[in-house]
Amino acid sequence: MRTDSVFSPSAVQAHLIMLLASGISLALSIQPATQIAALRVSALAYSPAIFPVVTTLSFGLFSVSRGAAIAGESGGRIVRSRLVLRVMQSIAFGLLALLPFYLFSRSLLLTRAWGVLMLVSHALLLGLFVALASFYLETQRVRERRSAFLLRYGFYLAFCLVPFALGTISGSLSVLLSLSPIGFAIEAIHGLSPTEALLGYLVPCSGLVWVLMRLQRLDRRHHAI
Amino acid sequence: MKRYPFLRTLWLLSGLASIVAWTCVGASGAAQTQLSVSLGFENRTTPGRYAPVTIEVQNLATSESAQLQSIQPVGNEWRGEAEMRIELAQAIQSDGEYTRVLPVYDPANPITFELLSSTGEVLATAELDLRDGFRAGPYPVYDRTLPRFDEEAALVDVATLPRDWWAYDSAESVWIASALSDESWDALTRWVLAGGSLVVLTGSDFYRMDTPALRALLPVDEPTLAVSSSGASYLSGTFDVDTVVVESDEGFPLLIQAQSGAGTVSLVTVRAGTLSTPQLADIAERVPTASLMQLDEVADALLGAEHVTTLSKAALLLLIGLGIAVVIAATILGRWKERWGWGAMGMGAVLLSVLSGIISNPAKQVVDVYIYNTQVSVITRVGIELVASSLYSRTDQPFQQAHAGGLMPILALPRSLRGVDSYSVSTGAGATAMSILSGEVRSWHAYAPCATLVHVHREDANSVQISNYLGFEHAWMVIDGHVYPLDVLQEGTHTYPVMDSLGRLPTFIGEARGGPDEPVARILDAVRSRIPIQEGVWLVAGSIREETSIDGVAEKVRDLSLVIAQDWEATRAN
Repeated sequence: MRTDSVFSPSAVQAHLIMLLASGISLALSIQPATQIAALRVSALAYSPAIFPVVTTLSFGLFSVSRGAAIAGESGGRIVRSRLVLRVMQSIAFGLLALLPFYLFSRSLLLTRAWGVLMLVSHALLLGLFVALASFYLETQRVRERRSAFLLRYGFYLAFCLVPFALGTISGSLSVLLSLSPIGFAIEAIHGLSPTEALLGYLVPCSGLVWVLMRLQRLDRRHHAI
Repeated sequence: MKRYPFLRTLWLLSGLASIVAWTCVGASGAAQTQLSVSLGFENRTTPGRYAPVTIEVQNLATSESAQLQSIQPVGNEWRGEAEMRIELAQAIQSDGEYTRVLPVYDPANPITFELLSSTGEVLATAELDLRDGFRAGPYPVYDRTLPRFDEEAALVDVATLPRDWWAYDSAESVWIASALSDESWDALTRWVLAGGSLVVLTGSDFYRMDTPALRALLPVDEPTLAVSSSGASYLSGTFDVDTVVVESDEGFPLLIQAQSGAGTVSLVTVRAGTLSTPQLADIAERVPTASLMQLDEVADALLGAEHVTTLSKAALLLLIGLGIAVVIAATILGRWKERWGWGAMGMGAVLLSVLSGIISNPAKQVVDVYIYNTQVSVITRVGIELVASSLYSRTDQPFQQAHAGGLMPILALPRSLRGVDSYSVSTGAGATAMSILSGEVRSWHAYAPCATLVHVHREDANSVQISNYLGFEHAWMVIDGHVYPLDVLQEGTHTYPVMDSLGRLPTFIGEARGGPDEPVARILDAVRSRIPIQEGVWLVAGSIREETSIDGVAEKVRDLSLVIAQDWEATRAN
């Protein structure tokens, strides 16, 4: 049996942390069943955006850790198709665990079922891209005998925060918001325009293609060796 | 140029063509559709209050029906900005004068009036600069026959007085010294019932002004003209019990006042022409300021008491627990046999998803906007309708709030309009479109002529006859301050037995708190300080409807209709 699979102790730890983070954020997104007057004076802000933002963020972090775990376990020596299968297994397991929460949250989304579909499909692509990118970075850095921890998490946080910050600061750059997974999740609550949806899916899709091409080269190099 | 006669001719011809073109433009301009607008009394306007508006349409050429709208910018760069669009009239097909009552939000900014074709093309536009007539608060409105003894006051020709009672919203007091039409007396009577302050200068002019509407309004029975020892003519008669002589002159009452509904009627017993400017100014100091009843705060409190519909947190906790259990179980099984682990995870996810879908059904759980509408009809000899609404949004989506057609709500605006939240509204026939951030509240009020017809007649100590065409679920009689419950009021004319007393009105209001009659009690509590419902015989009848619509933005609307009607005999006696 492999040392790292979706059923390994490190994987179950990651699954449970993600599950708890999503569950707590969903609870924080739901207003208490109280009187409107009490809600108006309440210092707590129950925003429906908390759940999609936290879940997207934590699912991305989970994917980064899974990619790195696979790289660490295989030592980077794994054929691309097998790698993709293993990453797919991790992402699918994570999404299956989160699916009841996503469905629960549809009442919070103005776009209801469409919003859930967008969020889940985006999370799937994002997870694949981020996990493979994390695997690639880990493999490269290990070869150079350097730690990739900061690089892979820094890369993911920059991917989330830079377009989001640019889109929030400047009105003319607001189109960049959906490039960020956080921005995409917030926009999905209200309904994405075709341009926003296209841009939102474009980054993980093109990133995925780029990483797969890089990994193909890595594959050839292994075969040559 | 001498060497080029052709060029000179060309210059001349082009000059001639220009003149012809300008003449044509001028001629066509003369035939263009035009709007001329006058707003407020003598163009005076007060922010946050209604004002009468007269719009004259000239040279309307289109055969299709046109539409009139006003656009009011509110605020400035420092305060924040909003825009209020109000549809004033539909189906305008001919020239003429159109009178309406417009909510004025910010007279510091110009108001634009537009006449639009059916395709939305602007046929004519007029911009009104209101800065010179800006009044921070209500101002007195005087009959034009009176001298302008207060610079703040507006002088008006009584023939042009508005026929809708809430058009006097920005008037501090209205002074009448000439004969009025029945419609104008009717509007003023309703305004006084709602909290207006009317001053009637009579004396020897009384018989010129005399109408049944005026007699019903004055606090004097069988008015007659008397002559004082100094030879001055003054109006005398039998004063009503609650009449107060505020000022006397040469041994006869000069200024007498009485409460009428929520307002006051002040009677000056001598002719306006016999009073000097200082005397008029002295009387003005003793005239109370109008203050129309508003139920915004009640609607706000009733909305605040509503419970939000929300997803169950206990169900979510269960879901989290089951999710953790499924992951752990799948992991244990998966470590033993991978296929079993995947099977357990798949089965668990499907079961939990179905459970989650059932618990969080949006059709049952989602309410985007909570609306509480109150509509209170106060009926004595005349009737008024006070409408107030408060709404709480849990969505950022724009939506339309439905209301009675012709109603022009006046939105309560905060001092600062800055921030992401928008205070702009667009009022059309029967609905107001707005966009509010989640977690925010809006309140508005409006006035209307009373659409409810209710007649109450106490037949004897144990029965009362009530006629109405709506039917009410809850009804009480308030007789000399004591509350008596009634059966459900049916449509039509029926006699109802008066049951045992529930105690005095304050006790009833206190005991109703927390119960199903709380909304009615809250309104009665607000109204009893203005309308003397603890005296005489009154019917209080109400019904509460709740409706949830889930098309588009899901709205939960609660409508409270309340009628407070005085006994018919008492209104006749008045």
